[in-house]
Order: sequence, then C-alpha cells, then structure tokens
Amino acid sequence: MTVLGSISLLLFLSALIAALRGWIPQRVLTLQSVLVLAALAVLMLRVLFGPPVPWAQVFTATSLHPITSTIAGFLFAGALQAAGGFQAAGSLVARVTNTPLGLPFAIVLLVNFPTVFAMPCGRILAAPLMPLALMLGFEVARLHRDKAMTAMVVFGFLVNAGASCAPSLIGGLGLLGEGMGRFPMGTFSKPNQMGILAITVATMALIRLHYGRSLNMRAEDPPAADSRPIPESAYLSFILFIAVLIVVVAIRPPIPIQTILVLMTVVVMFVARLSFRDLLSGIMLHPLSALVAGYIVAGALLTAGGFEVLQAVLVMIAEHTVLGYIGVSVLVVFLPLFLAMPCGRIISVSLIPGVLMFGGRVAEVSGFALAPAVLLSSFVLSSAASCGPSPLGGVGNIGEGRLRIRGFWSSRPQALGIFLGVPLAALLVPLRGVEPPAFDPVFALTMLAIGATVGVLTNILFGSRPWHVGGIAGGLLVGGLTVVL
Amino acid sequence: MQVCLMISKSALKVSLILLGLTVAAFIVQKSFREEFPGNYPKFARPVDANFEFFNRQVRIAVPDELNDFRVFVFAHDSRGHMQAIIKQVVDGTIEVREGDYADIDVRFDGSQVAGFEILKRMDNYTRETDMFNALKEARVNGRQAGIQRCLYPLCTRCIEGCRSVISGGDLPLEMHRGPDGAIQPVYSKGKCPRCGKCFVWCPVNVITNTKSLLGK
Amino acid sequence: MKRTLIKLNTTMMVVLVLFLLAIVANALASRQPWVLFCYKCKACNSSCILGIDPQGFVDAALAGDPHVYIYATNVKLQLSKAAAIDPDMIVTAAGKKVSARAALDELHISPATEVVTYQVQARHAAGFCFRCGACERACVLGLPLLREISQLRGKEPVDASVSHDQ
Repeated sequence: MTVLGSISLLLFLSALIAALRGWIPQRVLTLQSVLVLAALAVLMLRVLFGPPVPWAQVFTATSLHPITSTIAGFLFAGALQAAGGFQAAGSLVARVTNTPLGLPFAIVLLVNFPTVFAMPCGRILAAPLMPLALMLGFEVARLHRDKAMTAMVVFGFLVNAGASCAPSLIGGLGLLGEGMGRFPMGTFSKPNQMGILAITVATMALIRLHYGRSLNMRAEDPPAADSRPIPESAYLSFILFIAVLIVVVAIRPPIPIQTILVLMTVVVMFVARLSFRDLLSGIMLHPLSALVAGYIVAGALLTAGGFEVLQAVLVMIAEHTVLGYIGVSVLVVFLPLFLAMPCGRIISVSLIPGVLMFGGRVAEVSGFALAPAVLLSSFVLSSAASCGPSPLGGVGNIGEGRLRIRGFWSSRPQALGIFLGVPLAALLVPLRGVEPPAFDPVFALTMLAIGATVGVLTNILFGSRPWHVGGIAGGLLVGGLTVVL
Repeated sequence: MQVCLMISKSALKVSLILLGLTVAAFIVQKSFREEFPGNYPKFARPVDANFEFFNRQVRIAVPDELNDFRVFVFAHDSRGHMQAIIKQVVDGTIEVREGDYADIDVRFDGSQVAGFEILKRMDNYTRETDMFNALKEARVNGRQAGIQRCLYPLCTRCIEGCRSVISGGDLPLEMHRGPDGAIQPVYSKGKCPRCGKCFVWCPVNVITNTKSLLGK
Repeated sequence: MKRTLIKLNTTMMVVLVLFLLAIVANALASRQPWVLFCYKCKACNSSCILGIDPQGFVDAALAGDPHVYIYATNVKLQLSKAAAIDPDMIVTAAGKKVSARAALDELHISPATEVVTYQVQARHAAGFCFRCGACERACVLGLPLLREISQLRGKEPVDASVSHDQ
C-alpha cells in the first residue's frame, strides 16, 4: 500500500463525488473532462513522486469491445429506426397486446430480452431495442396515466441489459470470472440469469414504490403512430435482427458480434435503401465519451496502485474489525456498486484476485467449500450490472438521455435493485453446483418457477391482477428460454 | 439496370468502405506462414529418472539434455488419477519439496485420458495435493510415478495436426498411458500421411522430424 | 459555458479521441489488427497451466509495448533467474507478493530458492509460454493468440533458459 496509491484513489473518489453531487457543475466541466483531468492529475503525481510511469500500462485498462459494441449497436439502431423496424415491432407488440396476453406479456418479454439473448456487452441490445422500450413505456404510462411507468420499463430494460453481459457465453463478463477463477465455462451463467430477472423486477418495483415520485422527466410523449402502412422491408429488418440474435446465441459463431451487427446494418441499408444520415441519427456521444474517460482514469489508477490500495484496505478491515472476512466479503461483492464504472470489466480485472483470496478465507472460516464460487459469481454479477447505474457513461445514461432526465436519477433504483437481486444468484450457485453445465431438471424447474414469480410481480407492478395470464406466460417463456438457450 | 438503381448508393458506399478496411487489415497483418516438411515423425523415448527421497523433498535426476525444460512430475493415486506438477529441470535435477502442490489432476478411462482439471486458480489452489506426499505414497504402494515430457492432455497440437488432414477417427497418432504411467504418443506409421504438422507444432520436442521420407 | 471552459472541455474530448486512436494505431503498428476484436472475456485464462493470462498478450499489442505487466501466476523458477530476467517481476516468495529484487534485497531470500511468478512482462510471459495452443482453443472468437506470442518471443527473446526453443 503506497502513499501515492492512496492519494490517487482519494483524488479519483473526490473528483467523482464532486462531479456527481454537482459541486463541479456540468456547465463548468463535463463529467468526461473531470475524469480526464483526474487521470492527468494522478499521472502527474506518479511522474513527480513515483518511479517512471509505465505509459503503456494506462492502455491496458481499456476494453475496446464495449466501445465498439455500443457504436455497432447505435448504427444498427439507426438503420432499424430508419427502416421502420421499430414501427413493425410496435405493430407486432400491438397485436400481442390485443390478445388476452396483453401488455404485461410484452413488458416481461422486452425487459428480460437482453438476459435471454445475453450478448457479450449489454449495449449491443440496449441501443437497438431502446426505441421499442420507449414505445412500450410510453404506451403503458399513457394507459395508467403514470409517467413513472415509462421509467420503469426503460430502466428495467437497461439494468437488465447492463447486467446481461454476466451470463453471456459469447465472451461476457461471466467468462472473465470463470476464466480467472478457473471454473468450467458457463458455471455462473444460469444463476446469474435468474439473479438478473430479480434485479430487473426489483428496480422496477423501487421506481414504482419510491423513486418514481422524484422523477423529473422532460421527454415529451411520442407523437401518435403514423397511420401509413408499414412497408414489408420494415418487418423484414426486424425479423432479420431477431433471427440473427437467435442464431448467434444458439450456435455462438466465432465472429465478433460487432461484425455481425455492422453486416446486418449494411443488409438493412440495402433492403430499406437507407442513407448515411439515417445511420448516424442513432449515435449518442455522451455514453461513449464517458466510457472512454472511465477507462483512462482506471488506467491511471492502475499505474498509481489505486486498486492495490483498495484491496489492502479491505484486507485490513477484515483483519482488524468485527466485520471479519465474511463481512468484508459481502462488502467486496457490492464494491462495484459503490465504485460504479462504465464497464464492469475495469474493476473485475483488478479485484478478482482479491475476491478469490477472500473466497478462500471464507471457505476456511466457514467450512463452506463453494464459498469462492458463490462470492465470485455474485461479484461478477454485481460488476456487470454496475454499468447500469454508473454515471460515468453507464448503460443507464442511454435511458436518461432519451428520457431527458438530469442528475443521474436512475442510478439509485438500479443500484438498490442490484443489491436486492444479486443474493438470489448467490443462493442458486450451490444449487447449480460448479460442475460443467449439463441439463438438471430440478434447476430447470427452479428457473421456470422464478420466471413465473417475476411474471406475477410484473403484473402487480403494472397495475394488472397478479394472476394475469400475460405476465405469468411471459415469465414462463423467459424462464423456459433461459433453460433452453 | 433497374435493380442497380434501386440499390441504395449509401449502402454500396458502406459496403465498399468495409471491404477496403478488411483488405487493409489483411495487408497490415503480419504474415504468418508455417512450413511443414513432408517427412515422418520420430518420438522421444520416455525419460529415465532416478528418484531420491529425503525427509522433506524428493530429488529427481534426469538426463542433462532436459536441462532448463519444464516437465511434468507425476504420481498416480489410489483412484487411478494422475497428479502432476510442472517443474523446471535445473542442472539435470528436479526438486519436489513438501508444500509443492499438484498443478493438474488427470482422469483415465482404461489407458486413455477421460478428462483433466487444472488445480490452480490465480494464486490459489482448488485442491491442495502435496506432490511430495503423492510421490512418497506412490512409492510405498507400488503405484506409478515419474517424469512426463509430453504436455498431453494440456497440449493436443499433434493430434490437432493429424485431425486437420485426416477425416474420421482413425488417426495415426493416439495418446495412451504407457507402462511407466506417463502419457505418450502411440504411432502407426502405416496410417501417417507425412503432413509434418505433429513435429512442427510439438512445443516440447517430444515429436521431431526424421528428415527422411522413409522415416528412418 | 464560458469560452475558456468550452475550449477546455473540447480539449478533453480531443484527448479521448486521441486515446482511442492511439490504441487502434498500436494494434496496427503491432501488425496484429485482430487484437481489436478481443472481448477481453478471459475464457483463455482458465486453460493455461502456467497461469499466464493470454489476454495480456492482446493488451501488449493494444498498448504497443511488450513490457506491460500481465498475470503469470504459476511459473516456477529460481529467484536468481527471475531477478536476472526482470528484477521488477512480481513473484510469490515467502507467502508475499514482491518484486524479485525486493525478495533478494529486502526479504533476503536465497537466490537458489524456487519462487512462483505472479506478474511478469508480456514478452517474458511469451518466453515462458509452452505454446500448447490451449488458449487459442478456449477463445470464443478463436483469435490467433499464438501468432502474437511468437511475435513477442521473436522481438526480444528472453533468457534462453526459460524458453523451450533450444
């Protein structure tokens, strides 16, 4: 634990809190500028007081993958929007809502869609499906005359998308935990999917029951739907999108998902005869630039030993306070929420060795051999989901931008939702075991039961009867798909 | 002509840009060409090792030609599993001390490998199997223990080479547990297509080039 | 926003863009543009018996520097050899994670003692690597990691004693 590391960590935390609390107003310095300046200050300290700066090490904290995924997602969203794909999707949803399944079915399916078709970065689905979430959110809000319901759908969907990189077997954050912890690939996937269902419903419940009251949303209701007939190319584009997603999740081709999205964008451009401008209309720079700024500051902290200090402090607390290793382990699991980075990979790579060490100690103290697996899977889920509430360009920012909400309002309900949902994943890890994934009928039934429960809760939250067939059928479908895929 | 006009110009431009980027990436990429001489392979003999047991360590003498190599030191346990640790040969000697834990646990089905588990995760072990004790127990109970130079089942490059040129499962190269307990390649010269991949890809020189079309 | 602040904020945005461009330029300069696709999921990590984090090789290419430190948590070697290769290499010695130099000078551990590496430079990790290809097989994208490893070994060969290329 070095003085330089401690000062760097304090500097970063002070800058972050000052920006988030509005002590440094956004009209003076944007969050991105604050972060870059903090990174420069940390590096300057290292130049002045530490050994020579390993400049290249600053780059190693950066993951290009979430950045390129976001860009590819935005481009595809732009193409799909211009091609009328969302109108087509909206019309399909309208057809579903006119059946006895109703809106609850559509909501359960949409908000949990990213977890069912888990992509290596939540932004891949968050960007292109955002217009659909908005459409559904405004529709349900209009029906119930409650604007908070828009936020419930949008942030339920976004927290689900943010966390969905945890269970992804195509290169998600879960693989990072399994890889570093040397657990069989896919060990944490199903428990984490169930945890995400709980996180999603908890976030929506928190907005409905408490945070909705303080919602200040400046986005206008969307104009009435265009009465012109939807072209066939619009349906084709949307169906192509869904079909490719199913194929990608089912067969996991060794092709970067960004490449697939860009190729799909080109196909949609051909089919719907789109222009460049149509593509660019979907791009939002703020989450992208904040993400890069987050990586820069993380790289600077890495070189200054900030994360080592954090780990040393945790060990010290474990050894010298009543919390002990078990208490601090809980703290470690939720640490990504307190230090919510724009991408969970930043903090995961730095802290997983510590998590494994804590897991080992807890196993020794408690005699519970699966403690490292439980702790690691919970940490991974918490890290992955933390990009939802992260004000540093997290996936939640996309929703705040679209709904024109200021002051990072969505961070708290999302963070609390994660806090409530992660324990479910932790409970399911011992049930699932740490053997290579195989079909387990008991676990499959548990997943279906959790799906149905989520459906019932969604029914209640959106003002339907608890036993409304739509929510329950949607929940069962989500549970079933997570079992199958 | 009409079809061409119907296609979006922007889409065409984007396609061309993507094509250009792909070509540029291929040009930039460092060329990576491997040459495979069309000869038969030859195989290193099992390692002769001399075990000397002390109170808290085992000293294993191996031929000097293995100096600086990393090899498996293995011992079979009561379940028939092979416990192995990777050690470096220093001055013709390998030392396994008390507290040196096994790196890998290999399961067998007959003489063939049924699966394996790497036992170290980051800087912790999933299961701590003391190799010193494992070697001692193997000696006391008359179980196999020794040195394995081939990295199978971690490394399967020779088999992959075979599979890349031969369809079906009838490969000239198979891996079996030998009479000394070590896993070693079993070779059928008659089936060998002399593709040369096995010895080019073998990272530990267990398989080398005979430099002869006749394999002598 | 005042003009000065606009300039400052714009400069910071330019820094962000340049940072990204530098990463892309490094990947191209390393002549391994495929590293740009890496998901950094570490699926490769669990396959390496030497505890080497193969994604670190990707990091080295993205950073344009083979000297970046990466995890290699299970390479056993003599402390004197570790110090000769890189005195700043982090090793686990006497239950502590310290640099090889500190293990010798501060903890006074015998140079002949066998230590286990923890973090080493990417080029040295490439030297330790068996090149068994387990990481390539584990990669969800099937990225050609062995090419980058070969390049790192070729660029600055490590102490021959830790390599198998004899």
